[in-house]
Amino acid sequence: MKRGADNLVARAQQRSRSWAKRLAPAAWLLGATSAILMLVMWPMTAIYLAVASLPTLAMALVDDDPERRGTLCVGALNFAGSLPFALLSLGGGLKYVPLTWGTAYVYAYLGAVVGIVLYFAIPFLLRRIVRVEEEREKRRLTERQEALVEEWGANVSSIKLDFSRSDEIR
Amino acid sequence: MAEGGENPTTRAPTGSRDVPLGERFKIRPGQTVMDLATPAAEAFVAVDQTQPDTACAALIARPEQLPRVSACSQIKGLNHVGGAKLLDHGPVDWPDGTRRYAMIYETPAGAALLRRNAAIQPIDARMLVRNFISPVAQMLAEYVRRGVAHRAIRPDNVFWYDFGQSKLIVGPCTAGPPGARQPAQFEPLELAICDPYGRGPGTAADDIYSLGATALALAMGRWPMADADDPAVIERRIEVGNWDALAGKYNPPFELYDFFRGTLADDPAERWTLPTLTKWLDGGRPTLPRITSFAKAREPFLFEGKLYRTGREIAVALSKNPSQATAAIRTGTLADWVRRALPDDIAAKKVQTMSLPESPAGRDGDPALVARICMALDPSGPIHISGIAVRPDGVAPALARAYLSARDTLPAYDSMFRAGLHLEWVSTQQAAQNPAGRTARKLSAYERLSRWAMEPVPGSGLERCLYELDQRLPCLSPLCIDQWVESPGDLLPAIDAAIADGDQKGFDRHIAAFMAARGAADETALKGLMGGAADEEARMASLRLLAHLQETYLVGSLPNLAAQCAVLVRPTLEQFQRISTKELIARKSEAAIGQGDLQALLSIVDDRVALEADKKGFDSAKNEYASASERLGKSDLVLLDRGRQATYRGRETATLATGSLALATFFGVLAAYLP
Repeated sequence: MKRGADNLVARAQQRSRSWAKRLAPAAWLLGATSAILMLVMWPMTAIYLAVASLPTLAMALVDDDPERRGTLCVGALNFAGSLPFALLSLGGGLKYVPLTWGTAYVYAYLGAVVGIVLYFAIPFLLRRIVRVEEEREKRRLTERQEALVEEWGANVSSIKLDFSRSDEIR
Repeated sequence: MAEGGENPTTRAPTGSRDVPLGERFKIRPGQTVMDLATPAAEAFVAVDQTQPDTACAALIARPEQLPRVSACSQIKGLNHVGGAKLLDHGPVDWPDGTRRYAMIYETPAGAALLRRNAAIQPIDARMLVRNFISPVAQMLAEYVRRGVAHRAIRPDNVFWYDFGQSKLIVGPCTAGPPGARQPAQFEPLELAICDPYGRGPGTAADDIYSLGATALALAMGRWPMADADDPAVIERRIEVGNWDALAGKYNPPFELYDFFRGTLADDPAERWTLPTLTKWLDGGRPTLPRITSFAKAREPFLFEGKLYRTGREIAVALSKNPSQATAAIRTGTLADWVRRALPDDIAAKKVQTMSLPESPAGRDGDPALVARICMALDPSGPIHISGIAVRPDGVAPALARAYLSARDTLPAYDSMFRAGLHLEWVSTQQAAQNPAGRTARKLSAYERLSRWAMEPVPGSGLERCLYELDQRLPCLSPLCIDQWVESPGDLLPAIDAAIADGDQKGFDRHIAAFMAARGAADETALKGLMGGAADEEARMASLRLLAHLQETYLVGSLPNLAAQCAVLVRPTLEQFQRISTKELIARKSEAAIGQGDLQALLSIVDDRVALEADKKGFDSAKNEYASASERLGKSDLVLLDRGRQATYRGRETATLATGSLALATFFGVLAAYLP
């Protein structure tokens, strides 16, 4: 069961890794092109987005997850907090310039903070659950062993060593 | 028979309580009957409760004496004027705490007629024939019909039948082994040579010789050769013949001349038989035996400073000096002499062949070689080996005697059986056409003796030979020697009592051999009884055997034996593993031991189904315990592994959650700030 789960995880990691590798150059190219276009066409908005995305950048630098899930978590919410203001600014529907408007940064950074919290809290919670489950299983097994000794005597815990094939093994 | 109850020779009662034998007789241990007491048995007054006027005496076998139980069964109730009437017999609980064998006889009138060194008025020949020889001959005929010989006809066992002294009777014959108390004067020569306890059951022919010798003593009014001991009597009889040795210069009455010549003939084949004697008593004139003498050598054989002229003399002399006999045989002295001087060519040839160094006669050692040489020199004599002289059909009482009081002779019996001398003796008798050759009917039993003597398994050995040869012999184990144990059923209470005394523990070779001989036990069970390295199967077999005996013979409670058996089956009990089962079995076992119920004990420990279920349960529990231990041992690794998985899945979950939340945030913020 456990071995099956391990394989699943390994396959999933392998799959993700291969997709990421394949798409990485295209993503970089697309991102760089978009950034340059944006910097040329809407410099104020582009600078806002760059400044608002600093937490994502920081997370990308310290993220130890091979699949960059920390960056994804932080980046998704960070971007979700800054992108509406950039779009509204481009569409002219915003009274303030996002680059100089604190509220636009609050949303972006707040999103980044929530992303960081979720990224660290959920695995921590699951590990806690696993530890409690394991402690409970150990207690159950120990109690069962005590019950067996009580029912059958100390002999039940003796291990009979089989030396019949020792010569072959040697 | 004496009238009026108690015999005048009894002592005053000493207050001991009466000992019952069945419902009919009561024995008074305080009142002895001196006239009937012998070295083999004490005699006490007995009371017949159905006929209080009948004077009875109980012969109580002394400790370590073995009465003729089989003969008792055969002659019980035989009412004949020639002999004392045996009214009843059986083991009784004696006041000293032992169980002894009692034989109730009608008491004769007065003391024994003629003791050694005493003298009486010679009895008239006609009266002797009418009042002694004739009734005793009729009694012997009845004994023959019942398959026993009397073997105790001698002057000090002859009594007046009544106070009127009208008839004579011979006294009890069952107090000891057949012929054991017969002086050499009153035994046929070939039996007189034997050790007293090794003379065998004998036949009517032997009784007829004893009758002739006893009649001679009564006719003379004194014992023949009264001053001579047995070896001197034997030597004299070999030298000059029965008649000259016993009668000397006595001139017998004319009426008894033929009788003495017929009954005291030197050659057993010529001696009168019972029909011949009956014919003579009826007034006939039977053929008289030819006057023969032992074939004497042309020159004497010098051995140990004495000169011998007959094979029998030399055989007896050699048997008494085994080491010198071996020297005479090995050096060829004896072979040279027999070649030169012995008239019996067959015997001479045999002795010469056996004396050769490469002869197979010497394969079993010097004692067996001497025995074979003696057998060749005296074919009708007993087996002489290492100082003992027994006939194979007399081995049982002789061997019993050896176990009881002469253990130093046991190796001689062992050598005899191992060398197969008993079989060679039977062959010799058949070849010589001796009457003793009839012993061949027991040949099959004799053939097995060697195997029993040599087999190194429980239930074998000399003890097995002993109990096989005499099916009525009680068990001679020190555990129960005082309890007269005649059947395996009697054995259990005796062992239980002995264990309670605490002085003896365990089952010895006698008990094993006794059980094996009485068909009560197989080898596996005996192995368990004897302890040692017995395996579980043997231990359980022994408990099964004891439980079976307890149930079969309706033996009561045996708490001490049950306690011993608990030790025996403890290894079996320890095979149970479940603690609650062990406690339950222990409780049940204690209850069974307390009740002395071996069958209950057996049913507790011999429960194969429960044992198998316990074993399966234990194996399952062991496996469960082991897998739990394995799981606990890997707990840290498992925790680490599952933690890693939790981290991975947590991050995935966080990614999905933040993705969803990001989508919602994006549209929420967009909606909030749209103009």
